[in-house]
Amino acid sequence: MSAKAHGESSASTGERGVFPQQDDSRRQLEERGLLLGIDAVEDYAIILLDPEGRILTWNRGAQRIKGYEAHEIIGQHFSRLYPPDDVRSGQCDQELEFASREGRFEDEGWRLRKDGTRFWANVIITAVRDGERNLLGFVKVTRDLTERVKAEENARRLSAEKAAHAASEASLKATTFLARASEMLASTLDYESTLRAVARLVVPALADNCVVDFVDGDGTVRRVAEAAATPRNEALLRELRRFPPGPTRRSPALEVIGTGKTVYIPKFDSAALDNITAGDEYSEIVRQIAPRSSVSVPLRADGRTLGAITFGMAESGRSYGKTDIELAEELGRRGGAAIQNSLLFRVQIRATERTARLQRTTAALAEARTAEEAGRAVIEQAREAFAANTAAVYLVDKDGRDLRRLAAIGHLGEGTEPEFPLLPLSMDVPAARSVRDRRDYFLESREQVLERFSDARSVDSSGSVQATVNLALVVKGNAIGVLVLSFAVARRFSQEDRHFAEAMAQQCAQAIDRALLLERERKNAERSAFLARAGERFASSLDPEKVLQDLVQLVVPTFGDWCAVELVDGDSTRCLAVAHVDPDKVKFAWEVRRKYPPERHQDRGTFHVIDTGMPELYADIPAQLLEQAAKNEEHLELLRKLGMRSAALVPLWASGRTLGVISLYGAESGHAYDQGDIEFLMELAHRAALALERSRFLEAEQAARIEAERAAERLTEALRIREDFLAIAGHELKTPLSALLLHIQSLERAVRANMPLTKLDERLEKASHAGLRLENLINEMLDFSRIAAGRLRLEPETFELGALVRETVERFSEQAMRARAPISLQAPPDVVGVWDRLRIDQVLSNLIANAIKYGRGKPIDVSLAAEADEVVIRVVDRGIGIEPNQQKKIFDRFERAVGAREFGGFGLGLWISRQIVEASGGRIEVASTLGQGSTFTVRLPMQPKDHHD
Amino acid sequence: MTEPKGPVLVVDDDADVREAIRDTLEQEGYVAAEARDGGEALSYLRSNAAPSLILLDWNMAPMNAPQFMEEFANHPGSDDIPVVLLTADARVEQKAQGKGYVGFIKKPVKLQLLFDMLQRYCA
Repeated sequence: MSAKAHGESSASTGERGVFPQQDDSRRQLEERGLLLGIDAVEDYAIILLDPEGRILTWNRGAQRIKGYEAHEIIGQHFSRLYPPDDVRSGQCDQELEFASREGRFEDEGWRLRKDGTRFWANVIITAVRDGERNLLGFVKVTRDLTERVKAEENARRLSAEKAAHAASEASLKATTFLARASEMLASTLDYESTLRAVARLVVPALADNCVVDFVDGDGTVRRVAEAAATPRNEALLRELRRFPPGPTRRSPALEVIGTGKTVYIPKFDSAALDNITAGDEYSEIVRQIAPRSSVSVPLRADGRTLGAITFGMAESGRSYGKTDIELAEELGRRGGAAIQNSLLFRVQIRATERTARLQRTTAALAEARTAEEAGRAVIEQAREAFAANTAAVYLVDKDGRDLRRLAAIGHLGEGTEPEFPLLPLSMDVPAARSVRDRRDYFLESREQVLERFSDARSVDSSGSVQATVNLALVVKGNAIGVLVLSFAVARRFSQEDRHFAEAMAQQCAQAIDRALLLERERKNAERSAFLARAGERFASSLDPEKVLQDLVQLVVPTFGDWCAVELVDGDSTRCLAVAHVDPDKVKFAWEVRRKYPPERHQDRGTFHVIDTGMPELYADIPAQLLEQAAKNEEHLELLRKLGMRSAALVPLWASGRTLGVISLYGAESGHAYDQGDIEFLMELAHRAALALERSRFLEAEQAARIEAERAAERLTEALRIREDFLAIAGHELKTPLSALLLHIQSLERAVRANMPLTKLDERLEKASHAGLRLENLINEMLDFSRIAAGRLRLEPETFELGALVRETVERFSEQAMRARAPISLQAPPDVVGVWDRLRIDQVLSNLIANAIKYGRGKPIDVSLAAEADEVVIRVVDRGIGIEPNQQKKIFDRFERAVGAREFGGFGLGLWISRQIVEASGGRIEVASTLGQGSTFTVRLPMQPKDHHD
Repeated sequence: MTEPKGPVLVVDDDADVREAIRDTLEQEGYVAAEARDGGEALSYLRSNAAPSLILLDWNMAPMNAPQFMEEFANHPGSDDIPVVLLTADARVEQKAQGKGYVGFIKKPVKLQLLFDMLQRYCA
C-alpha cells in the first residue's frame, strides 16, 4: 500500500530535488553517479532510487530500455517498471529490502516498458550508504537481456527443432525400414528366405545381431534366420542352430513364442545369461557373442504367434529406446502378417495345385480301362499330392470277407512290400474299419493308430507306419474298397488335406466302380465272343482228344497259366491234355499226373468234382494249403514249379453226366479265379463236353461205319472168294468128272453097239482114278469148309511117326517114279508122339505131292528128326522154287505161287497143312531159292499143346 | 467106217482128260494127237500134217486158248483147220464168240456132242 501512496505522490512531482530531505543523499548519489558517468551509459539503465524506492535519476540507458523520458518517470516509484503481478506480490519491496540488507540484489525477470511490452531484464540493485552506513538510496542497474534470451530461446528452439528433426529422421528411417521390410515380406511367399533378408536389413541399423525363430505346423520351433554385424558373430549365431530348443532350454524368443509378448532385456548381465543357458557349449557361444541388451518381439498374426524376432545389441554399446522397441514390435506384426499371408497363399496355391491334381486325376481316370488302371492312376496322384510313402487301393472281395489289393506303389522301407496283398475285412485296422464303417480315418501318429485299432500292432509290428490316411471308397452307399496312404513319419492333416483326400477318394471310388462295370461288360462281351469261337472250334473237331487239346489251348493263357483235362475212364481217369503258359513246364504237369494221379474218396479234387458234378473254386491258394495238399517234398516241388496260386476245377458236363474235369490254375501271372470265372468256365466246359460227346458219338458212328464197311468188304471178299472158289471148284471138279464121264459113256456106247471093248481094264482103272480124284477134291473142299468154319477137330493118338512117314513116301513112290523124281527117306525109328495120325498124313501127302508136282523130275529128300521136345519133318525138292515175295503167301487160302491150271488142285493144300500143323501146336515154314528148289519144314511138339481144338 | 482123215489134235493140260478123249476117239476109229498146252499144240502143228480138227481146252498153262489162237492165226493153213473149244465155264463161250472157233463143247463133255463135231469136221 505504501507503494501506491508513493506512486500518487511521485505523480504529482516531476522535478528534480522536489524532495528537500533527499537533496543531500541525491546529491551524493548524483555525485557518485556523475563520477561513474552514469548518464551517458546507454547499454544499461542505471537509475538511483531513494531509500523508499522513488526514482531519483534516469540515464540514457534507462530511457532507451524502458521508454520513459526522465521527466516522466523521476520521482515515481520504481514499481512502475514491474509487471503488475510482480508488484502485487510485493516483489519490489522485497528486492529493496534484500538489497538494503544484503547490499546487493540480483535477479532476472520480465519488466515492463512504457509501451506496455515486456523485456527480459537482468537487474542488480545495490544499496548506497554514506560513511555512517546511513542508507542513501539504491542504484538499480538494469540490463535488457531480451535479445540474449531470444537468442537463447532461438538456440533452444533450434536445438529442439534439431532434435525433432533427428527424431523425425529416425522415424523416417524406421518408416523406410519398415516399408522396405514390408516390401520384402510381401514380395515373396518364401517367408523363410524373406525373414533372413529382413534379419540382414535389421543389422546393423537397428541391432548388432538378429535371429528369427519360427513355429512349424507341428509346434516345433525352428531357427530360420540369423544376422550379425560381424562375420564372427554371425558364424557364432549359426553355430547355435546345432542346439534346437528343448524343454530344458529357455530363451527370450521361446518366452515370446510362449506368451506372445515382447521381452526386453535392457542389460545382459551374467544372471540374465544364466537364465537362458545352462553353462554348456550353447552358453559358451552366447557368451562369445557378448550381448548387452536384447529385444525379442513376436511374429504375430490373427492372435497367433508364428515366431519371434530377437534383436541384440553387443559391440556397438547401443541400447534400446521406446521407439526402437515399438519399431521392433511393428516389424514383428508386419512379419507375422506376411507369414500369415504366405501361408494362406500357400494354402491357396496348394488348393490350386490340388484342383489341378484332381483334374489330372480325373483325366487319368477317364483313360483307365480297368479297375486296376483306375486304382493305379489314383494312387499315383494321391501319393504325390500327400508325399506319402505308400499308396494303395484295396477292393472288397466278391465273397465280402477280404480286402484284396488292387494296386499299390511305394514302400515304407527298403525291400518291404507296398501294403498287404490281402487283408481280412474283420480285422481291427484302419483300412478294414474304413470299409466297414464307411468313413475316413486320418491318423496323424502311430500312437493314434495303436490307440484306436486293436490289430494295428500285429499288422505293423515294426512301426513303419507313423501316419496313415484311410479313405472309404463309397459308391451308391456301399463301400467297395479303401484308398490307403501311409507315411513313414508322423504328420498332421489339415482341413484342406482332408477335403482334398475325400475328393480324391470319391473320384477314385466312382472311377473304379465305372471301370469294374466296364470290365464286367467287356469281360462278358469277350467271354461271349470267346464262347462262340470256342464252340465253333470244338464243333470243327471230330476227334475227342482234339476237342480237349483245343480246350486247353484256348484256355491258356487267357483264363489261366496252366490247365489239365482228366476224362472219366471207367473207375479211373485219363489225363488227355495239358497246357502251360511256359511250354517247358508241360512236362512237370505230366510228371505230377503220372506220379500223383487223382485219388478217389477225397472231399475235394478231381473225383469229387466228377462225383458231385459241382465245380470247385480256390480263389487264393496260400503256400500253407499247397504244402498240405502235397504228398511229399517232391510233389510240393513240382507243384511249386508249376505254380498254383489260384485254381478252378470245373466238370465237363453234358447230358446229365460228368465226362471229366478241367483244372485251371493261376500261377506267376497272378491270375485268380472268382465265382464269375467259374460260371464262365462251366459254360465253356459244357460246350467242350457237348463237343466231346458229339465227337465221341461221331467217332463211334465212324467206327461202326468203318466196321460195317470192313464187314461188307469181308463179305464181298468172302463172296468173291466163294465165287472164285466155286469157279475153281467147278472147273477142278468138272475136269476129273469129264474124264470119268467120257470113259463111262464111251464104254457104255461100245457095249450098246456091241463094239469090241479094247483096253477095258485100263479104261476102267482110268475112270476109277478120275473118281478118286473127285473124292480128293471133295475132301479138300470139306476140309477147307470145316477149317474155315472153325470146326477142325484133331484126334490125337500115340504113334510112331517114322512109320507114318515111310508109309506115305511109299504111297507116292509110284507117282514119283512116273515123274522121275525119286524120293529118298531118312527117318529114325522110335520117334513116338501124340498127334492126329490122319491129319499128319494129310500134311505129309500134300508136301510130297507138291514136291513131285513142282520138282521138275529131280530127286526129292524126305527126312524126319527128333530135336529136344519136337520133331522136324523136311521135304526138299530141287524144282522150280518160289519167288521170295510169294513164300509167305503160299500158306494163305487159294494161293499158289504158280498158275492153277498147270498143276491142278484148289491151291488149298498148304493152307490146310498150315491149319493142321498150327492146330497141333507146331509150325510150318518154307525156304526156297527160285529155280533151285524148296525146303518145307514142319515142326511138331512131341505132345500137342491142346487136345481139343 | 470111213477113211480116217487127219488126226484130231487134243489140247488139254489135264492128262486124265486128254487120255479119256483120246481113248474115246480111238474107240470110234479116230486118230488122236495130244498137246499139253497152246505152245505144244503150235509145235505139233509146225512139225506134223495139219489135223482135221483141234479140240482146244480154254484154261491152260503156260499158253492158254486165246494166246494160242493169236499165234495160230499166223500159222499157214490155219483157216482150214477147225478149232472146237472145250470149257467147263459157261461164261467162256460168250467171251470166245467170233474168235475163230467153229464150235464149243462144255465140260463134262457130252459124248453125243463130241461125235457131232467130229462128224461135221472130220467126216
